[in-house]
Amino acid sequence: MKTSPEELNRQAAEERLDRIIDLFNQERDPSKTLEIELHPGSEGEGKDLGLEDVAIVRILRSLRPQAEPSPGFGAKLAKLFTTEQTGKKAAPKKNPFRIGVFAACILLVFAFTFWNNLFKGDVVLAMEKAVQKLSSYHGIMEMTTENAQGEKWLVRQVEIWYQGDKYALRQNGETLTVNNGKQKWQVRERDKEVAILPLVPDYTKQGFALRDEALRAKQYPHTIVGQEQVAGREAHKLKISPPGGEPYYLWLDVATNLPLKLQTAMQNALQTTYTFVSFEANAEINPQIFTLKVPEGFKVIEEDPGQLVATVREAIHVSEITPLLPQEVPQGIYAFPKKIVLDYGETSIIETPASLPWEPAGFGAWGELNGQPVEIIRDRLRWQQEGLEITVEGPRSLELARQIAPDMILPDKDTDLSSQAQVKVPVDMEIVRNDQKQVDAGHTPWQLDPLYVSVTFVNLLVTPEGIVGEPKIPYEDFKIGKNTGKEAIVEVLSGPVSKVYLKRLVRQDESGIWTVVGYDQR
Amino acid sequence: MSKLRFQKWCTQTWPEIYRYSYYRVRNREEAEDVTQETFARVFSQESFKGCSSADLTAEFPSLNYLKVTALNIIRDRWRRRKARGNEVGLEEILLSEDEDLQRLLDKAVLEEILQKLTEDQQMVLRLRIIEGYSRAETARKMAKSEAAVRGLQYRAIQNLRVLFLESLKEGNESENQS
Repeated sequence: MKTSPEELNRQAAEERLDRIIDLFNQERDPSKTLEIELHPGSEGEGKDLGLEDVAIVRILRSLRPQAEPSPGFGAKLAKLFTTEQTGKKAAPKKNPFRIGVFAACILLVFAFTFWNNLFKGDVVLAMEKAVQKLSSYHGIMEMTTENAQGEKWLVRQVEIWYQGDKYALRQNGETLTVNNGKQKWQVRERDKEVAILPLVPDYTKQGFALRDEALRAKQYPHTIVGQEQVAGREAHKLKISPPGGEPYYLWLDVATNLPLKLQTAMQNALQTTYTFVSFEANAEINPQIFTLKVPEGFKVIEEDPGQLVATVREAIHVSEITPLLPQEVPQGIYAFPKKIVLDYGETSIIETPASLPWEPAGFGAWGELNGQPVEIIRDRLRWQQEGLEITVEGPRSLELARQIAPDMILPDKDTDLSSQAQVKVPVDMEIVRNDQKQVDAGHTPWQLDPLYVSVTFVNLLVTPEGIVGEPKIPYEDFKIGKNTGKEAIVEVLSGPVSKVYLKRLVRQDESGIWTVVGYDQR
Repeated sequence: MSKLRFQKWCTQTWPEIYRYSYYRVRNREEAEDVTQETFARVFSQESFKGCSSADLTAEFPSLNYLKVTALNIIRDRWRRRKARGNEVGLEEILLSEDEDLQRLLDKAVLEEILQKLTEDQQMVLRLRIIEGYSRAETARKMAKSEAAVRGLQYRAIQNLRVLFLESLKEGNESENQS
């Protein structure tokens, strides 16, 4: 059937509107790209309609937050006019001095570019070393949040004293949490109480956001983008770009290489900045802060602190479980009812009775021990062995886990699983990348779990009109067969699909979403 | 005028001009262009070039002056692209300081107008324009084909255009009556 000119005009107008919306979504000026179509002098109704479309899209976009200007826009702007001014004054006379300045500028740009490439690794490495070498420090860290309208507010202020294996944190001038290596407690001003807390595992210690985030810089691509002042100190500004995610920024003290400030990407129209507003490296710390003193009128409460025992026999007596032990003797043994914690400094081994069924988290990678899965999430390994559930967490987790379970098989990230799929599923990378950003911003976290992704995929195959109520193929019928952390196979016990093949296409760590790339028919 | 002083003034004032421009043009690229052009226009003025007073406030134009300049730049840009002057251009809603026109940018008023569209049309505009999803993502979320989404958003915008114009007309009539 021949298409009428009206129909063709309508299709063209629909297509143009679609492009206008896309350009706005990319924060681009639509008229620049559509200049030819919107240019005056051309005939036809569509031209005015195009402009009206642009106006309506603009009006509707007032329901969404403003986009921030491009990074460095302000600096570029200020520089542009000062350079123009210099240029105008310089034009009438050429002198050797100006040529020299020009050459120096080229040299500087050249040096800066190469310095970036040559030494970027060194700055991060130096930071890591500096953090490790730090014997003590005292600082005040502020956490501020800013919205898309530029409104900023202080969320939290934390004062930190740190010395060797001891630390004290005071939050918002109220709660003081102290770990002196022998005891951990929290003084809660508002409730007038002192809580004695378990010494290990110590999650507070792992939560010094700035330091932990700083160490992440190592695993993601990063570049030095400038030098700025942070709390009166000169700092390198590092741009860190997680694959498929929004970049964020980290500032490192030029003098000490220590991290001073971290700014997250704008997510859900909010951006968080952690800044050490004061920081003194290798500071002298008053030992009194690490001494437990119960203020007058405060009650003492114990939150299952466990007890430090001298021998394994004693630990068995208290916990009523018999632990599996590595060859290396722990620095300390803590016994709780039905739990034993072996302390190896920054690494801990926690043993509890095994709970059945054993279900490791799908978002981690899976290893294997005696046909049973071993859950691997960053530097934490968790598995079941001889009636116990064992968790080893910390930088030496693998080494200590192998001492307990020498037959443990770790997943090979390079194993190609998806090529075995009978039916290949085409993937739109634009959608995957946007989904990853959504998950990074805290939405649809189920995409981090290959089981949930498989349940959704298979049930949409069975009922393409959408899942209403309980899915036809229930969640219980899906089991993880293999998971290398990069690729996974999910086995399906009922329905038309027997296996689902998934990949982490954007980022291959626990924060990466899973995408179905193929399946086998039953 | 020292380079440092100009940089300082520029650093202090450009965020406000960017926000002011963005409020009207609703995209980063154009807002940055307008901000840059505003400073370029001010910078090229004779009165501005010649001044050498030590007093910052006397030397640099006020924020209001910069805003008026930015608004004129946007008007010029949009006028250049216009085929012919039609009755009330909807872009006037974004440019005018007139309260009746500005009213349409009020969130509650906009939501009220959106409610008059069909549910599908509201949904497609929310997903595509307010949430910023691609056509493919919107199609997936609405369980429709991409061609259907394209057609639906087109009809929604056309209907919205009529609703905006009606709303403006109603505003004018009530003003005349009073």
